[in-house]
Amino acid sequence: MDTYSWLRELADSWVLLAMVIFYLTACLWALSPWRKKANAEAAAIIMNDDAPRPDPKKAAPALSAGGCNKNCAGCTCANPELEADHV
Amino acid sequence: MWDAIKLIALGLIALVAAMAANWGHDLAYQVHAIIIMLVAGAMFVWQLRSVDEPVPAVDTGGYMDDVVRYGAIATAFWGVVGFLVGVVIAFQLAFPALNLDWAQPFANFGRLRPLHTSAVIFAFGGNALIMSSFYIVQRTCGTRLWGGNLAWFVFWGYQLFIVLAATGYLLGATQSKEYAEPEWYVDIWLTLVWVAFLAVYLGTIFRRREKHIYVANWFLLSFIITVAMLHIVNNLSIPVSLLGSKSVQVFAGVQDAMVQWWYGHNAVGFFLTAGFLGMMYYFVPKQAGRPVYSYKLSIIHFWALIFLYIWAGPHHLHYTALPDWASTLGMVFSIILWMPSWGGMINGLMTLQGAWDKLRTDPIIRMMVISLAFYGMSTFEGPMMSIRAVNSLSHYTDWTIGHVHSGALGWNGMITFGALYFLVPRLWGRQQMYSLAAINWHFWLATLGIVLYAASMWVTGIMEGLMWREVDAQGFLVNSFADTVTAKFPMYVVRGLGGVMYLTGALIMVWNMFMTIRGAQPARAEVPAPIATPAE
Repeated sequence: MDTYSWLRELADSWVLLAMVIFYLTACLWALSPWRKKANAEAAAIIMNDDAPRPDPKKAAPALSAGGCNKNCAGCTCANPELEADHV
Repeated sequence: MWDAIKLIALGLIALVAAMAANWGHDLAYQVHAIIIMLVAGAMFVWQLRSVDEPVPAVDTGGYMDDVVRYGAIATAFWGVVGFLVGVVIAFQLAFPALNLDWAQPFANFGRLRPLHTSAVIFAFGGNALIMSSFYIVQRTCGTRLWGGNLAWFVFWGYQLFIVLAATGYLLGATQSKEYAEPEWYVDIWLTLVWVAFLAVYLGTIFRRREKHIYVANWFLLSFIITVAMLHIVNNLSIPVSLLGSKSVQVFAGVQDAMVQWWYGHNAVGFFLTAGFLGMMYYFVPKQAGRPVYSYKLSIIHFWALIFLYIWAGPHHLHYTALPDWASTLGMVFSIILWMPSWGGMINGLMTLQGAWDKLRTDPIIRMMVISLAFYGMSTFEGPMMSIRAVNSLSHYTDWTIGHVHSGALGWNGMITFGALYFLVPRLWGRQQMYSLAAINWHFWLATLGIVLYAASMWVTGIMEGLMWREVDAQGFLVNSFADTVTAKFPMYVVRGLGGVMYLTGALIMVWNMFMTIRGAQPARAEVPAPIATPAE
């Protein structure tokens, strides 16, 4: 069998089947009830995105004597440009 | 040390470009070599002046929005350029004398047409996509853009690609593949820029501080990856000489046609659809102030689109040397595509559930809703036109042009305008756009412009399709080709006027953006308290 016919038969049999199974799995995954919470969380990401989120790996440094020393992880206090951006 | 390496590299590039300009075989290649020489030379001087200067500290605490600001301006600029060239070629078709004699061969329809398509799709649409990807990926990942100045390389590299492509078309360098006209060295440059784009995007996603990857990022990432794949495969060509712009395609005949339309239709599917859907899934919920209607549906929309679109290309090749099974496959998948497309449209529209009143008060929401409506209309029209029997009437007629423009002007254009109106006040720290009335004017001018455009192209397309196939009792064709051209004249004028309205709307937007950025805010201006002036 020449390459063309072999590839064509492969494409409309096993490859098609594999892709349909992948697609149906993806749909079932999206629809599955235990994804409900994750979906709601993901959908809510955009509602609070005015500034970068703090880096969980870096703990907030101790406050200096004068109070906020504007260097917490992900701190936006020390960023005048950002403050101006989000009036 | 690093400065020295950069200086040497830039100097070498300028030198090689100067030699290429001298030895180049054709005008386009020589002009491109001069452009590269000037760019490298200017960068060399700039670099030289900043050697051993203290590097200004970059604040890496917040989002990297400078590049997004540049992107917003570039989007508006290229939009106006692309629409303007579109209006010019629309009137060239109506009045052939506008192919001005003194401007030949540079400004004839054949060279301006790819300039128009590339300017609107790749310059206007591409900048809109790069700008929104950078904006969205930072917000939805809760982190700054990865890669530092790499994002600037993507932005400026992409502008250089646009300039090289556009000047190449005017000077006659084309590999004559629709929507992939740039020649080999421009293709290589775009590949480099695109890989950097992918790196910035993926790097940011890898460093995200959110657990989930928001669905807009899925669409945008699939757009970046698929366009890379399509671009490389469709542009496999061998240059005739390293000192000339001409190249020869690796594929030939029907294989080349199939690869071209696999590329061409997926440029529509992944550049103009998946990418812009990424924008839609971010900007529509943000502007409506509520999460997307159904997150589940958006994921199914994503996977269905990915699996179906990639097969739809052969519907461009009905009644050709392409095997029947292949064009039938393309047709069937195009029709199935209708389902996820409308699922996505409904998902976007239903996001407004409970906020429909905003349609009356918020012209930006109105722009986004009309863009979703046009997305729905053109994704219904497209599958219908892919049916072989319909295609035998519509193919080669202006119906196709009407279809493309209802998608491009309606869906891509309107969602981009909506995104710009959303972004500009936020990026420049303003409360809102300078003039809401101007957004309203833009909305109606653009909408009515599209209606004139699409309606005139339906009429003229179906008319010419019917005229071409009309035979008399003896089986002879009734109409000559020139008869159809004469009959189309009124519709061509109406189409041109539709384009003028759309361009006018865009110019109003540019004025509005300029006034917003400049900082004039009449909406919030208070009446100044009278000040007692001392008598002189």
